[in-house]
Amino acid sequence: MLEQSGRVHFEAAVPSAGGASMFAPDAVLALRPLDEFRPQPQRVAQAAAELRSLGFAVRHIGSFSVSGDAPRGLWEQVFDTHVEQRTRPLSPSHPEAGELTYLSHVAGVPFAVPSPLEALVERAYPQPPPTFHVSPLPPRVPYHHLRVPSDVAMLLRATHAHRAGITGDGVRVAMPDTGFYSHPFYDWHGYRYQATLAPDALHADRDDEGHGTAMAANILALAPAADLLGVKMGGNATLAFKTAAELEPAVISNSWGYDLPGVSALPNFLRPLEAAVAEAVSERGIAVCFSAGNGDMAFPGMMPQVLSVGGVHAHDTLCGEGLALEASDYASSFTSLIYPGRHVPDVCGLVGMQPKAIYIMLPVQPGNAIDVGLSGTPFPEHDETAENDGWAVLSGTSAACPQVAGVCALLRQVQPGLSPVSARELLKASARDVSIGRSAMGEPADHGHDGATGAGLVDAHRACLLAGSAAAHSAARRRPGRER
Amino acid sequence: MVDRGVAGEVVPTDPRRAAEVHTALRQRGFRVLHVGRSISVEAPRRAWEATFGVSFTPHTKTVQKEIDRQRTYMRADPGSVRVPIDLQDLIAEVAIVEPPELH
Repeated sequence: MLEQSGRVHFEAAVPSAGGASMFAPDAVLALRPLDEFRPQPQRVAQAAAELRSLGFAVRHIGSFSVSGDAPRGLWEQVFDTHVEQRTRPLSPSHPEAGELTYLSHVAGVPFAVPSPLEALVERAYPQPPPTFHVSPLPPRVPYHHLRVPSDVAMLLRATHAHRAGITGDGVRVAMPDTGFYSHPFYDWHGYRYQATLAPDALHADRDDEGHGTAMAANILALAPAADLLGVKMGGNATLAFKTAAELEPAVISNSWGYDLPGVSALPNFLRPLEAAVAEAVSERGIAVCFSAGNGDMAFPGMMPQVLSVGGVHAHDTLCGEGLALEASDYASSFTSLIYPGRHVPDVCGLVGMQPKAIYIMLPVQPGNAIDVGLSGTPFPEHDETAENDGWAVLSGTSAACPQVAGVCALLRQVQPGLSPVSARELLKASARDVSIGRSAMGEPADHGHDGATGAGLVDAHRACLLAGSAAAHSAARRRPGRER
Repeated sequence: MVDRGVAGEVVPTDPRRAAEVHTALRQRGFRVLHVGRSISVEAPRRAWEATFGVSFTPHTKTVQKEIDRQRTYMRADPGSVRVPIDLQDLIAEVAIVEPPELH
């Protein structure tokens, strides 16, 4: 249960300069000139000052009212009234999201504005918290960004594959992450989006961090018919990974890791995770994708067995037959000190640029850490969405990794027996070259394979064509009577 | 994420003896969550301290830099971890987990 606080959150309305009251029965503000009800600015400031002097916390001085909060006792004492505690669901359509308690005015209970405030405050009301109505449609923001699924699928050339019936149908993709909220985006798109718990986690469909719910959308943008099974992490990421591996998916997408700068030997506490990842790839045949990091030297993203995913930014300007592509200066590239010769990344997905890679509009549990943390203005420090609308604009290699995982799911539909090594080689062989820009570590992109972007930006269409021709070749080699 | 104590991974000397490791750990106050190539456990600090001699210090790290989200957790001093003599036949390695960074 969430508690708004033991405080009364209020709006104190200041009397208008002309005497008209917004509380009059015929005062329909939407139909009348607002200036009729506007107080003098000095009076609003005086009201705020007087409230402060009485011990109220003033949070905002507006044109018509003062916003603030106060301990329950102060509110009841100053206004000679009584409030009561109430509880209601955060979202009526999603009761699993939890409940909120708050302090509310009680109808019929006396309320008196004391003499120090009489001329300055017409009325003051406790404000109940809003009900979250999450839309399956994202808000509009005034800067270049990408939408899921359309823009991400198109830019990674998955729409061609989708038209050919390659949608990840029948392929399970697992994703250990922070939680998987039942956002209407997933339901409205008809996605197969489910969640389960790692043994040390609770509430699979709660995502107070916001990360898992957001990043899962990238998988389904590329593989809209895949079976996505999110595994909510508890306190042990290794356990979450093992849980995911035991679900026998074709692909595991991991948008997390451990930064090991300057470390030449794997710390002991990460060895069980290393073993679990190696086992998943070599013994279970799972294509394990890890994000390369955002300026980190990320493990397990540096393991030789995994598909390590970096970042490329697609600008909104044309270059040749497509959009201008540049190595993301937010995404990592590096040579591992722990695994000799291992360079990261192998291939890239779509990632924004510094300072915060605010780039892809993604669904999140409303009011969670990401929804709140990135909200507000201005871009590029904030995403210019509301803090409780259930949408946030972000990316990082966290988004790139599930994009590539989604392409892996497409490949597994084309060639069900495709090994993780072969999947990685197909993705590298079919990737689009990116020759400009630098990674977060300053490595330059260049023609051909390069330090910043590896083989380049994944191309789902070309990768599926290659997988299809490889499958046909394998089938031809297995035809009876053919001499070897 | 729920904080129910300190989580760790215990690696048996022989995977075929995982059940014995499971029993030994449970007897020492560990909750066994998963048995595989490594055994996932969680336990109060005092169980780790008493059984494996682990010393902990609180540590804060940034787990999501875009929103400056921090996590504070009990970090084990790797040099303090030792498998007691009576468990050395069963347990090869002990790893105290730490929270990952979200990319």
